[in-house]
Amino acid sequence: MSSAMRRLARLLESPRLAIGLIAYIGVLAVLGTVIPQGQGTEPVQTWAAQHPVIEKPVRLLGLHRVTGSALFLGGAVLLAASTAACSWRRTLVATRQYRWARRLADPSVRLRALEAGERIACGDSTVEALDKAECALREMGMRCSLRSDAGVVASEDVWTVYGSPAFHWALVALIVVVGAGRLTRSEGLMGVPVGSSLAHAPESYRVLETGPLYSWSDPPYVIASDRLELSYVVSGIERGPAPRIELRAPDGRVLARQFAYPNNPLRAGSLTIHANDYGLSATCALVGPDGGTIGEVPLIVDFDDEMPSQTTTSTFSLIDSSGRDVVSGAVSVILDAEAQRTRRVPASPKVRLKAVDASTQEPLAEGVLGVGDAIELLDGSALRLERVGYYVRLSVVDDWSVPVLYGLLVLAVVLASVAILGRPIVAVVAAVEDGDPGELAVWIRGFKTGDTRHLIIRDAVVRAVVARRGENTPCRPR
Amino acid sequence: MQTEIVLMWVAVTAYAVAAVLFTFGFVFRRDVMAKLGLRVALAGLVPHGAAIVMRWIEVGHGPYLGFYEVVSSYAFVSVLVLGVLAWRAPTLRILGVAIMPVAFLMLGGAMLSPKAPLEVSGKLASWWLNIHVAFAKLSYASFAGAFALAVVYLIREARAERGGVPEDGVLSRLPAQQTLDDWCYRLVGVGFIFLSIMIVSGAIWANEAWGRYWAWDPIETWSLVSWLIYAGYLHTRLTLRWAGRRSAWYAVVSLPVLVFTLIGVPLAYQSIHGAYLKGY
Repeated sequence: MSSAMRRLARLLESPRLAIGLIAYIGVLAVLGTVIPQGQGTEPVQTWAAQHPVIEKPVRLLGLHRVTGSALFLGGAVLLAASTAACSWRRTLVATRQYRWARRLADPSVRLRALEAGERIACGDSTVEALDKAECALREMGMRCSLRSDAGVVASEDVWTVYGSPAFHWALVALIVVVGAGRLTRSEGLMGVPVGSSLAHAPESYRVLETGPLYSWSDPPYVIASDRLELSYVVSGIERGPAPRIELRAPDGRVLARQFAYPNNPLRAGSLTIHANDYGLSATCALVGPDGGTIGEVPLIVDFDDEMPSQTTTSTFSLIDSSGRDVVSGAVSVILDAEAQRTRRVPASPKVRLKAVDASTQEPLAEGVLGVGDAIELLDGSALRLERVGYYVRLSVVDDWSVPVLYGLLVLAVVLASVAILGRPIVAVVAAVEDGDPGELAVWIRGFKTGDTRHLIIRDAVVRAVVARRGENTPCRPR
Repeated sequence: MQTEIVLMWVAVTAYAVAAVLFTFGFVFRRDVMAKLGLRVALAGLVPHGAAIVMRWIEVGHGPYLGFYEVVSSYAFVSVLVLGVLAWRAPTLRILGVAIMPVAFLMLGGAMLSPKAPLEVSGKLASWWLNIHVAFAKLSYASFAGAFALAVVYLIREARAERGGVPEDGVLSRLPAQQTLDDWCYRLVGVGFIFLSIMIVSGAIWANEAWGRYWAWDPIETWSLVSWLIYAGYLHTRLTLRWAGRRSAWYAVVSLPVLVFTLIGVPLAYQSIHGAYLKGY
């Protein structure tokens, strides 16, 4: 490795860099809760007007979208690199520690350990003192792997030296999976009139975000809804409006079908469909001069809290056989008092309809229609209100990484527990001088920085060893 | 509900008396007052616990909806952690001087807030709720214990630097500074695991309920910030070998951030996540 690479590696492995980056990400995240987030939204504009001086640097730094800003993403990438570098370094150290601990059975390794050990005068013969030492180590929860008249080797949780590096590798894997998931994910909102279906394709979505590597299935999957229960009760708990959703494969097979409500989305493969909300759907038919139906178009509208007497307005365009816009317009459903209160289809539904010539924008017709009523358009054709029903707004997410993410999160927590709770310790107690009383060498080492348990074990062993024959100690010879 | 309110006020009174006893015991170095303070605090747990159970039966869900229930339950676990630490090492009862005023203020504040019960809506009806809330409380309890140990560590160290710790004082009976420091670190470690489980279970549940596992919602963000802060504690401890005074100060300044996350953020920010504290 070149010296520049080595310097870079050392920098990335630096715990100070890691701590600094953790603090940096934390500060940016907090800023994201203080500075309004979004692009051009009302809270952002209001804040900008109230803070004209700092708005400029905030905008320049992208702090109105903190988690998407270069500052944040750059810090996150650097933290990921630092975590990976630290994980590698920790893995090497843990492997060295583990191998060394396992080699304590080797007399030469033991000898080196004992040369650094503490000399303790025994209260009994050496053999009896070793018995007491072994007993004390067992009482402290250590596992004695070697016992002879020459000495005792014990250890505790040595395998947990891998806990910290494994946890950090899990974090690296999490970052990679989240990133990969973002690149290949799609998430959107689609409005499906109850009783009909839509293709899982870009044109079906009102709001859509896809990663740059997301690929659409061709032919597409189909999402249908045939029923909407406005008040769905499960296990005695009101779940709110719940549509029955069906997901069909491109070949028409039904892959999944269920009622969807909070905490019970429809799941099939990488697709997850949540019921987001519901509204009304006014289906209009384009009727030809001969009275025959040319086509139907469902127009979806939402309940409007600011104007409860009618729904929001939905615009539409009708095209002719050559694909040219012929007629465009807007429709909203008029709500009576009962419909306003209950958010249901009115008993006698009526819509306010306005149609204009798509090319000249000249008004063609405007009026209030009941079911079965029609307004005349161009060339004798007419627009007729067929029915008013419901539509369901579905949140559709296609993300293969979610179950992988779940698994990694659980794994990371388990590994963090091992890293934090594990206290890897090795102990060697050996006879230095035979005799009665004799002398022992005690060497106990903990592998976790800042952990003092090895001192507690050392005290217990020394107390047991120096106790004279017959003295009351927690440990007695076998 | 009337009985429940009365029981709660009995608990508030007990916690107030305990806080006074601990303070006097600490200032005037009377261990007998600290012992009495612990008994009064633990006695207060009885009506407090009974009131929580009565409320649970009445509303059909645990203490996790609405300011009154949430803050009351945090006060309960604060006193409980004092009891556990005192049981582990009786001389640790003096931690009550740090814990009881907090518990009293929390429960008092809860009692002054509206007590109308909130129903478990469809969005909350999930067994993830129990996991998420349980580990939130466990993490708070662990960090509160670490906070109290750190406070006592710093006070004793300051007194030792000024002129020594009197041998007849409550501080002299505490375990050695190194032991306090070690226990503080272990409680932060355990609390960090509980906080991690809280965040992970919350992310999984959010995906089930709302269709997204992370949206930088203020509560999610501040939970992550709290997690990062305590991760920083562990890093400074294990890699930079911080210990003693620096670690103690770190533990002391970290708890207010967690309390702000659990109680302050839902009050300060409008979000769907904050509905558990403010209602729908």
